[in-house]
Amino acid sequence: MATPSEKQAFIDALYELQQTCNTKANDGTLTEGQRSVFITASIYLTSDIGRACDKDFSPVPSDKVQSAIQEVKQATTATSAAHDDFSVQVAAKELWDANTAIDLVLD
Amino acid sequence: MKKHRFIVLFCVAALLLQACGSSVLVTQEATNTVSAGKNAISEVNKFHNSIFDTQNQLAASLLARNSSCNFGTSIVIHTNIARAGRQKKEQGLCLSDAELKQWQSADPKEKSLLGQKIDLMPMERSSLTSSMDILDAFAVYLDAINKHTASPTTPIASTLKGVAEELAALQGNVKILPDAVSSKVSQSTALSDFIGYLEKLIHNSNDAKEIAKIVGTEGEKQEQNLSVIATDADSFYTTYIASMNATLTTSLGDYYNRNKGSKEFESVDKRESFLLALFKQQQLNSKIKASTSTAGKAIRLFVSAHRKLRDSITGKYSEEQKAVIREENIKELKEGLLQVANAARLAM
Repeated sequence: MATPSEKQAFIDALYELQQTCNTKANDGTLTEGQRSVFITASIYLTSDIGRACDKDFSPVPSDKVQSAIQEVKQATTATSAAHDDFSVQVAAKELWDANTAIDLVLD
Repeated sequence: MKKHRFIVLFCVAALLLQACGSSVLVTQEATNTVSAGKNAISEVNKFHNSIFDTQNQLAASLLARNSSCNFGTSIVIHTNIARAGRQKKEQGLCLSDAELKQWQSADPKEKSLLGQKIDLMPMERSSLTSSMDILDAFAVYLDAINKHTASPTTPIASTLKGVAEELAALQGNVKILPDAVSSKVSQSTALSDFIGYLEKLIHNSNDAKEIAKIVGTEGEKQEQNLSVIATDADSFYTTYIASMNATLTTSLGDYYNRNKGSKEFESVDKRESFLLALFKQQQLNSKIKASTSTAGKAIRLFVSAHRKLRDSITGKYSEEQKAVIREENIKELKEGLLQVANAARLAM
């Protein structure tokens, strides 16, 4: 079962991804359509951070949390690298995977 | 003979003054700790309110600036994942009624491609009440100890019993503390520790020496437990409040980008004033990232005040406390010597 430090690591990972999405959402070198991916991600990640802070992690299996942290880190890397249509689509796919893993922990 | 009497008087006075200085310090530290406790409670209350104010502000801003969204505590937004970079300009933030119906009946795997459900109020006030209750209980305990240090005959058992009973009732409801965000010590452990500590004090409430011993040996653990609450407050601040503020800035920026040609932003002045507020908001985000919460700071001051009180009760003084005692003793010694001199003069 997940420990308090795993919960903290999960929240920290979500926060880093949310901050990276925010940076991209405000990046003037991206088009409005490209930025919209990160704006919506920033909104749902903020809600996820609130849900995570509020949630009791003790019944959540550790491996689920660890796996979600990995997915979130991959999404952060892909989001950081997004600069054109192709890389934004790659980031969007990673964000979708991360979102699925996050929901498995929080739902 | 007169000289001998003078020396004896002087020694007695010096011994009494040493004790006087210490008790003055204990009373002073107890008063400081009670006031630090009250301050911590007030700051934590303000901090909790700020979490919910920011939550409300973000929700209101999102709903007000996106006409596709209806009022509610949750919304379903387009994720734009399936058509990354190819978003239709006219698409709103929230799903239309037709899209919502499609989303409702979709397979769980497909659901997040169509839309993402957002809880606009994910943090519940009830989640934060236990940390508030522990602080309240700690303040009552300190008030009792304060009264006891001022007058060791003051009965404190019933006050402490009341606190212990309230905390015991809380134990069943602890939600946030068992897995407190960054804590190594769980809040339920903190509660059990504190209740056990109070019970020992209640059991020995008629024995001033034993009270001093219990505060001296187990008071530190209670300080560590309070520090857990401070760490939690910092974590809420640097993650949840920080992310809400950043999202608020981003969504306001997006609103500006989508509407900069509208009547709302028709003049340079209107655009400049909106953008200025936006840049200031962005700077606030950086400030939050680099700081700790006021609630965390106030609790740490409370912990530090309790440590000083504990040290003064048990006679383990810090350099700072020793300086206060020295100063107090010198002052009283001067007055005492004057009285001794007067007494000696009378004896002569």
